[in-house]
Amino acid sequence: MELFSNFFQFAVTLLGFCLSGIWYLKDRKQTCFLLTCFYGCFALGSLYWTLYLLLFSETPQVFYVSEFGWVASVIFLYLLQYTLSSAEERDFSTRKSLIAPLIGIPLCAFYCTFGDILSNLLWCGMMIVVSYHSIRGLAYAQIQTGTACKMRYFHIEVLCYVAVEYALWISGCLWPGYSISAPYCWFDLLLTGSLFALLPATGKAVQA
Amino acid sequence: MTYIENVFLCMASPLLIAALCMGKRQRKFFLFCFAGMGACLLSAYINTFFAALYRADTFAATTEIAPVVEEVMKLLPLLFYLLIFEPKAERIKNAAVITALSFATFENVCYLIQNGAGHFSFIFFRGIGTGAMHVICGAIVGGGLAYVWQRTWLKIAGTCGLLGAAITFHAIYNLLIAYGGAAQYIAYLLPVLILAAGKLIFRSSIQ
Repeated sequence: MELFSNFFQFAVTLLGFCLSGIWYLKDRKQTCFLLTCFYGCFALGSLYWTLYLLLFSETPQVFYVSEFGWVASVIFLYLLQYTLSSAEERDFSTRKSLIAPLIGIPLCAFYCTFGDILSNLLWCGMMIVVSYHSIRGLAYAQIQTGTACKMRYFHIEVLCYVAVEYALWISGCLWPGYSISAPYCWFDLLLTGSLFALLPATGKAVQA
Repeated sequence: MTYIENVFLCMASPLLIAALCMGKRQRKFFLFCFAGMGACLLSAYINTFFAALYRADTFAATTEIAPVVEEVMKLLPLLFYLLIFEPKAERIKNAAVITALSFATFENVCYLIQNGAGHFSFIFFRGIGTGAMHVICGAIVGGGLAYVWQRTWLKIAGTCGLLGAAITFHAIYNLLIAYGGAAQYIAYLLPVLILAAGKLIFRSSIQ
């Protein structure tokens, strides 16, 4: 099941990479390039993990090289967020965005009790930054009129991605294992769906 | 045991003489050749150190440690060049590819010394495959750096992202090689195919 789920995730992100790549070749927009990089890095990370499982029937022993690809993909997602936001949006401040560290920091402490501290700090730090900007962007998009409010789909989608990642890690800590009945497996499939949904959401944001 | 530093000296000395004889304009090319081969030499030492530190076997060292160390080491001379000389975009790409190519050449020479050069077809595929893989990693980092270093806010995050992409690609290649059999030949073919596809897409997009 783990192999199928990972292969499915790789296939979906590869499809996202191809579609966003074609979109970039047509429009030559920086946002499309960054989305292509996001999908490309995620697909590379998934491919490494899937191949390791497929060829050796175990997970990497020293450290997870796939994480470099996945971390790179989150970096490109953050850059995409930054590129899509206007200067006015970046200056906009709202207390609602504090929800991101309020949720992220306790969760980070929780994850650290189960796994590697450095890796959890890095991942939670990135998730807090990405969700902070998304909540701020969402609050800003709600007070806009016309096409500008289309940006909210992108921010909602990024928040969904962050929420599913948090849920995935919680399920991995509390209910380890990768059978069909394990919540981890279902959250992983949900993550694949949220990753693909970023493509139409970015499309709407580009139109805004 | 391979005396890798002796191999480095033997390969670097004719290049050094050539660099001194050639004009100033060609000197940069030789400098990046030295940087690439030097990065390969240092990577070998650092790989051995980390393999001992994590008590990793040859397989774990090849698939998990070597890609990280080698890509970071290849990036360092480029970062130095970018920070000190602030070159134009086209020069960054060339520098990255030359560094990657000389890294691959030095790695291939060390491989031949260790394993012999008896099997021509295998050595031929390995030479092309490894060369293409390092060029792709160099192109990812070089092409990406040329793009991200034009924008201040992109510099740090963009460099980390590109490094992550190059490390993962390199690790996939090494993983397939370490498995052996048909997977090994897929690994040799994969970078060549990606390089050809990339070239085609790039050409058609220009037209």
